[in-house]
Amino acid sequence: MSEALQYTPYEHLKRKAFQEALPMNCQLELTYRCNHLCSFCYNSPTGEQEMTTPQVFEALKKVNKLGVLYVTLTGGEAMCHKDFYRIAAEVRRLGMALRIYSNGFLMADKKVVKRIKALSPMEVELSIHGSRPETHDALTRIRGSFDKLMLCMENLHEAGIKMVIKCPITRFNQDELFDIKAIGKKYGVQTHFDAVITPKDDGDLGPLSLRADDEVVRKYWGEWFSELNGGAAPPRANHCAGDSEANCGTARGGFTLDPYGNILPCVAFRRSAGNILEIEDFEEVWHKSAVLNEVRDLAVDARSKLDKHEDGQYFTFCLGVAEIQTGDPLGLYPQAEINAKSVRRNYELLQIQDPEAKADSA
Amino acid sequence: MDSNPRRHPDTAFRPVGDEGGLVVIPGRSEVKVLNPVAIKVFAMLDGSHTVEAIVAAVTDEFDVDDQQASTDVHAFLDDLSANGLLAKPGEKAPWEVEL
Repeated sequence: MSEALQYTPYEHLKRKAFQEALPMNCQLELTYRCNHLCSFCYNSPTGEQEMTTPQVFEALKKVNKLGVLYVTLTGGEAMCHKDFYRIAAEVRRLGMALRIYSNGFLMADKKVVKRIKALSPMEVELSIHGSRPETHDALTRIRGSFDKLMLCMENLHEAGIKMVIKCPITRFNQDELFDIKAIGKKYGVQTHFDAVITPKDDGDLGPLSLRADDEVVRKYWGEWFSELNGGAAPPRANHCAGDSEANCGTARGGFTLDPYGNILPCVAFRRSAGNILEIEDFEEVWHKSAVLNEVRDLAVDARSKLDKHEDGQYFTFCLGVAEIQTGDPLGLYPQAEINAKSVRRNYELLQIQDPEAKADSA
Repeated sequence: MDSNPRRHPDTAFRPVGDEGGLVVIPGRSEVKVLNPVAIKVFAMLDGSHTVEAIVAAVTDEFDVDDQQASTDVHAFLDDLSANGLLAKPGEKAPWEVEL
C-alpha cells in the first residue's frame, strides 16, 4: 500500500516533518526561578546569567525563522519570569502558537487567568502531585499549593482554556492515582501519568528515591493502565516517535532552549549544540551540528538495539535518562526494563482476554 | 474583502517541505492541513501583499494560468473569510489589546 493511502494528510505531514527533522516545537525554559520546591525537580541551575528579555526576544526571532510552529514556555515556573506576559505575547506576535507548562499556583487568581486567556494559548499543562493537600503539598513543599491548583483549574475551565494535567507517579501519590484522575475528569480533562521519575539534569540521582514501588509500577502498566488512561492500551513506543525508525523525537520534532540560551536536543537529553545568542544561522546549526546529528543517529541506534531485546517492542526509552543513569545513552536503565516487562505482561493478559483468542484455543 | 488581506492573528502556520503545511488555530484548538498552493497563499497573508500579487506569486511558482490562479485564490480567501481565518480591517489580536 502506498504511503499516501496509509496516512491521513495530517499524519503524512507530521511524518514528513519528522523524517526531515523539521522542528515543530521549541520548549523554552524561561527561568529556573520557581515558587515551588518540588523534591524531585530535575532542573539544575548553574548560577550563570539567564537570558535577559531582549535576549529572549532575539532567541525567539531565530526560533521563528527556523519555522517552529509551537513554543512551549516552561521553567522552573515560567510565570515567575518578570516579563512572562511580554515574552508570551512576543511568541504570538511572531506568529507561533503558545503552550504553557505551569504549576498553576499563580493562576488561582482570576485576573491572571484573564491575561492568559488574552494570549490564546493552545493549552496550559499543569502538574498535580496528589489528590489531597497533604500529598500534593508534601511534594511541592509549599503549603496551600494544592488548594491554589484547584482554584487554577476552576478558573481555566471557566475561561474555556484547554488544560492538560500531568502527574508524575511517586511513592507519595501512588495510592491516589484514581482520585487524581477523578479531579481531571471533573473538568473533562484526561490526566497523563508518568511512571518515570528522572534524575536531575546534573546527574544527581536523588529524585529516584521518590520512585513508586515496583509493584505499583507493574500495576500501573498492567491492570490499572486502561482505566487510568481513558481506555487506551499501554504505549509500545515513545509518544514522540510515531512509527519512525528513531526511538523518539529528540533533535527532530523539536528542541529545548535552557534559560542560558543553550540549544538542547530535547528536555531530557541535555547536550548543548551551541548557544542561540552566539549563532547567526540557526537553520545551519540545526541541520549540520555534530551534536544534533549524533543524537539523531543515537535515537535510531536505540530503536535498533531495543528491537533486539526480548521485550523490545514494549519499551519506552529515554536516551537522556539512560546517559545520566548508566553513562551510556543506549544503556538500559532499571525503570525502562521494569516498564517494558510490565507492558508486555499487560499485552499478554489482553491476548488471553481476547474473545477471538479464546475461540481459537477452544 | 481587504485589498491586502491578513490572516487572523490567532493562527500559526508551518510549511512542511514542498508538500503543504499545517495551520494551527489556538483559540479553537484546531489544526488544518493545507496543500502546497494554499500554504503559499496563507504565508503571504501578512497584510503587505495585494490579492493580485498573491495570484502572480502562485502563477510564478505553480503550473497554473492566471485565470485559474485568480479563481482559486479568490475561492480560498472566501473560504478563509467564511471560517473566520482572515483578520477584519483594523482587527487586533487580544494580546495586543488586553495585556
